[in-house]
Amino acid sequence: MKRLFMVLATLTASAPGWAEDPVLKADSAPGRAATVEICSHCHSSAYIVMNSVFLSADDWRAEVLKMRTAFGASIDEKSADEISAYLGQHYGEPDSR
Amino acid sequence: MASLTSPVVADESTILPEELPSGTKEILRFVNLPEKHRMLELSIRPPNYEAPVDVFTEPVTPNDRFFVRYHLDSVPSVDDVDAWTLNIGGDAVARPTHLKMTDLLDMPSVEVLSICQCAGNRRGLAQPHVAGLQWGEGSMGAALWRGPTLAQVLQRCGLQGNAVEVWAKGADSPTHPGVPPYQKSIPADKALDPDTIVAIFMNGAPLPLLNGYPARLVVPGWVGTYWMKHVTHIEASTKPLANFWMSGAYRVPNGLFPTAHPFPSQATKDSSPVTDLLVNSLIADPLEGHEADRSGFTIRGIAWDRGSGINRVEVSLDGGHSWRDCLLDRPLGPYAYRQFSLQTGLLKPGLYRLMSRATSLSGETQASGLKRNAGGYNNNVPRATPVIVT
Repeated sequence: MKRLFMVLATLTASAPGWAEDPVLKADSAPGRAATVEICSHCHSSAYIVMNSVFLSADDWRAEVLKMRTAFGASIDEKSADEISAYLGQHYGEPDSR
Repeated sequence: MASLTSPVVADESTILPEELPSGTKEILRFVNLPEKHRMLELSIRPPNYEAPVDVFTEPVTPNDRFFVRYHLDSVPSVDDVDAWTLNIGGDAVARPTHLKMTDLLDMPSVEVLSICQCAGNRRGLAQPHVAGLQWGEGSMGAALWRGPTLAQVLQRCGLQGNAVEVWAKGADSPTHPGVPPYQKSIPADKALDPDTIVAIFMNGAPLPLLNGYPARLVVPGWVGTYWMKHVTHIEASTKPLANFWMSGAYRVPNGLFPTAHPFPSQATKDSSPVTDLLVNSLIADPLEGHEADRSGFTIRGIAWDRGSGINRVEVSLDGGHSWRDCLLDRPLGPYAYRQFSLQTGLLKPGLYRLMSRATSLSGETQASGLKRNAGGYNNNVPRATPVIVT
């Protein structure tokens, strides 16, 4: 019972400052640059971090496809593959990688 | 386009729901914004902010604590809407008209105390998680809205009897050209409901920019997706609106949820738009993870539904094994929150798992288990919030 209480996440907004978009993981990873550049046309990187870690690599691929088909994002095939692979690898559910 | 600055403010007393995805807990932070105070930020662009649970100890949500939800990243600035015009047209009105703010101010107005709740409220608490904005419990609020009824506005333009839907578009827009503009429709009978209004006041003041200044649709009892902000175009149409926002988003499988007001012109064999708010409740005090004294404390919260009213609220202190009836405050209106309270009496020290469960006057009770759907909508499952009694 006590343990359950202890694992609750407490909010740790540390010192007041100015909000910025979250920095995406793995600075030099393949696909990261395309993810930052293309996804940020329409939304902040918080959308990516917020949706982790629970989507499978295939779910991330489906999200990228949705951005292309439903939301008209201009992502060519090659970039879509890179972005999907990056998101699956770094923000995907570990078992699905 | 408005430029948002958001100084982060510290808050050591808030404990986030443990069910939220780990990444969501990483990015959530309290911020102050223009006209907004201590809101939980989900994203800066598009701007999406929810109210922390302590806001709901009051039945009317102050404007500066009212949640913010945008689909598109280009939010108009106050300057952009200075020359605001509301264009009324469509093939089911005889006289297409442009209305200025002074025209709306000159019309008779009505007041409605109504909850506006995002269809995806509590999406982030669903197990398994569903992709989308990972809202906790605060993508909702209740305000006293005032303005002319939508019916009056349409009738002024010669609304004809053959209207099937009323379409609405706002001044927010996508930066990227491929993104479908945000346009929504409601059935003609809901548009003509005397409680459906074009709101130009919110709790006695002009609407905050991020809540749709200078005018937004208020569609009581229905989820927030239809409450068009910064509304600039209203069309009465003999045809159903066909776009991504109607046929591709905000839909639920037919029969999964109780629906008092279906939307036949947008229904398909398998799915329908999400419309009515489900019966629901929330404990706002004590807060999750907080300590309480064994001499007893008062549990306080709110319950609501689509407008039939609240008949009963029960509270459990043991995670749903046993339930006790709460006291209900007087109703403030069919579309308002109804406050409830329960005095615990003496308690043994230990961990208590508080839950609330509401039943509406139409006989619906909160779902006992999550009804999974792809959009993660309509989560009204009672959830346990731990409180330590010392």
